[in-house]
Amino acid sequence: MILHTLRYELLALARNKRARVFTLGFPVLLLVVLSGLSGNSPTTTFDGASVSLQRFFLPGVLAMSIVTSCFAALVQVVVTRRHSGIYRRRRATPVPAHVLVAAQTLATTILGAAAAAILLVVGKAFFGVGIGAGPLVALALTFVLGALCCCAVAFLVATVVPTPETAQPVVQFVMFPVLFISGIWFTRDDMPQWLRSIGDALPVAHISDALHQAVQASSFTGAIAPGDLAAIAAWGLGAAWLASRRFSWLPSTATA
Amino acid sequence: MTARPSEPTITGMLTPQLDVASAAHRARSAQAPAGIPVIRVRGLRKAYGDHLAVRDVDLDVHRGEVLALLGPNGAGKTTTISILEGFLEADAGEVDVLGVDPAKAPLAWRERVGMVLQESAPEASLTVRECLQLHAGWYRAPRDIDETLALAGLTDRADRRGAQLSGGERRRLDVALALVGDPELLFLDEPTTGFDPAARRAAWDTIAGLRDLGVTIVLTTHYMEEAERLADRIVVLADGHVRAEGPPSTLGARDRAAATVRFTLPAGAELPDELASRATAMRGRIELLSAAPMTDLHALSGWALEAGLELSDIEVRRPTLEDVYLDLTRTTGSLS
Repeated sequence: MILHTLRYELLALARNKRARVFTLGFPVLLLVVLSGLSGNSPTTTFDGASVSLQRFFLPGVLAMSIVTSCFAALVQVVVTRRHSGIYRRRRATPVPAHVLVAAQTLATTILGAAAAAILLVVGKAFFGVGIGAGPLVALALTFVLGALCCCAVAFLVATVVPTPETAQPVVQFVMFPVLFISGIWFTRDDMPQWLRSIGDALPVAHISDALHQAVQASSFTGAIAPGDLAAIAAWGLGAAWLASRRFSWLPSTATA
Repeated sequence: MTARPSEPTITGMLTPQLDVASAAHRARSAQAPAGIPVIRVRGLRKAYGDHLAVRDVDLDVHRGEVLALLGPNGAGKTTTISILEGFLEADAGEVDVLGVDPAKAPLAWRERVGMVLQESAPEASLTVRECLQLHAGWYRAPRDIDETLALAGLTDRADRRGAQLSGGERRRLDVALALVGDPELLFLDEPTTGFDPAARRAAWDTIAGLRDLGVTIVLTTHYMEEAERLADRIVVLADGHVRAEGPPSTLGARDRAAATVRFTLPAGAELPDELASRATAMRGRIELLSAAPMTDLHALSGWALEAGLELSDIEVRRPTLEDVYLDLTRTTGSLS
């Protein structure tokens, strides 16, 4: 039943122009601009080690694409579906709630993974950022875990957003500051300690750090960041647990 | 939306399929113990904050019956239906739908119940057929997709995406989605809102066809003609409680209510005293409220023939369902 639902979720996503542009197109554009601007190999640092800007931006943009597709876009979709009665109508059928959540989460993650694959190909083809097989597996694991975590947080945030109109500002307000302090565009090495502490408390910095580590490592074991992955998993499980208790399928003004 | 020539013929095309489908329903209806209502509600109560939306509502719906819930906006129709559908929990009272309390019903209960909700958008990126396939996959024994499309009059819209549907087509998709699970009990919350007259007729034929299959139907509507055409029984809600109940023909003692006799009195003529005392003049016409129209007409025609008068514009009018309904709900002051 999950696979049946997933099929139609993917079909709907693939036909959605907005999803294609923002989830697939925008991160690639950002990677090309950032990496292109940084030509002639200037460097920054990650965890104290020197790294080329092009190799720095690839995992950063990967992390950002997780946040935009699995958090920002998902919050919008969930709130819109709830508000317009699509969820209510689905819940009028015998479909179990976990099937709907799982199918939507998987579809979102798969679209995010497609965006990641494009980013990796573009990074390798145009900016020479190659990644070995071992680290690539670690990168994929990290990516999927990060995506699932962001989906869980999205369902949780959707519980406090009443209408599709409020989803956009709430999402932007949450997302942009977090992206800035999470080592997406600027290395966290140069940030003041208090900003680093805030970043450490949130999941995105861990996703970003774990992806950076995977891109820079030369072996599978070196590419795995156990501390970061544990933090991501903890956030994901915590958000999923809270969301499962608070989530409503009905619009806030369901009946009058 | 304009009327399409195909619409009035939809149910005509359907008849053979309906006959096939009805076998299952007849079998299912036969199993059900007679006399036990499909829906039984006693002392239902639901409040939103200080506002008592539904109070002390009793309701019985029997197998194979079409029940129409009428009432002004805010009368508690949608609240009642939402509780029967299991989307809302009652504050007090007993609710039994197909043998269980809907608020605690297992998912399997939803296999047997179809719902057309008041507000729901289509899945914008999926076609009508895909949306039906998606929903059909959630039922153990769904109705055939093509048959469902035909039932809802959507056969020629099957490949159109949700975002491209007109208001009436969206509503028909809602009806199709409620039917795709092959339900034995159907809730229709204002099912024909946004339909043009031809589409509404087609929908009535569809609903009547479902009743013939043995489907039990609870329907809310603001169209009196719809209630009159479809309902076996009408329940009028106002201010959250049942104001009147009965078949359309006798609701609110409609069958016993006074008829109105109207005619123009020729210049210079004078009614006999016994009629004149009960007559009122309305814009040059005489209106006579008559509890015994035969007796009054006899007296009137005897007098007219004797006086050599032809009351050529005479009409006798029974109170319509709308008259009765407005009468029943007038005192509430909540016609918002």
